[in-house]
Amino acid sequence: MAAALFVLGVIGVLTRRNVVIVLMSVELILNAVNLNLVAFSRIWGLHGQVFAIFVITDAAGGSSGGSGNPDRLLPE
Amino acid sequence: MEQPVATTFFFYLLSGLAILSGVLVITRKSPVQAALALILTLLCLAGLYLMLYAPFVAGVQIILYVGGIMVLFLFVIMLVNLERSQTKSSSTSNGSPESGGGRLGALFISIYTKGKALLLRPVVEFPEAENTQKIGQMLYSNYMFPFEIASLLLLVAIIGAVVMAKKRI
Repeated sequence: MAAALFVLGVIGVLTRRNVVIVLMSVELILNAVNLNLVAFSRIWGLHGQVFAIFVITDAAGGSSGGSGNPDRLLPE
Repeated sequence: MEQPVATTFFFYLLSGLAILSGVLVITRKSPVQAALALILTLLCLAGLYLMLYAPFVAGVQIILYVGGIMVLFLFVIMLVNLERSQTKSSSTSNGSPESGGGRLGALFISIYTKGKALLLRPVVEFPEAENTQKIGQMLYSNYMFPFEIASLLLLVAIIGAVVMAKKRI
């Protein structure tokens, strides 16, 4: 399931021209990683959930930095 | 390891809905519809986190992604569309704005009701309450240095956004 979401994100990054949709596909990839982390944290303790929170922080910073200026986000 | 909270039916429902709306994210033409599909994907993932005994990560997912990042995305989309429609003198005519607004409202309502129906169910029968406490203790004892690095990353993101927005003025 996470692999399917990851593949969807990679396809979205590679094929779409719109910058906003590319950013959203990056969010899809990060969410797939988060799902794997949380799923494996059921087996190996709580470390995966802590790291998933770090990944969410990274995604928040990246998306705010990426969509900070609407000038470069215009399609073509 | 104990069994998951809900049955496997909910896992297949949530994962199927997440993958389907993920397909919608990368196939829709309009960025607004893609953003709404992405919101649905994130809500389904929050439900999956609840099924995996991770309520704190699910709450952070809902508050940060659905409440913060997606609102930011929608703001950017609206701003870009506003600028394009102002420069191109409103030549986009795919459907009347009333029907577009109606469809948007219907999407919001459906996402709201579906999200509530999906998310309220595992909370009721969730027995574990010390997850947040454990995560907080681990975050301040074992992961002190990555925590500070994350705060530095957020500071750098704030400064970068301000600088990029200031250069335009």
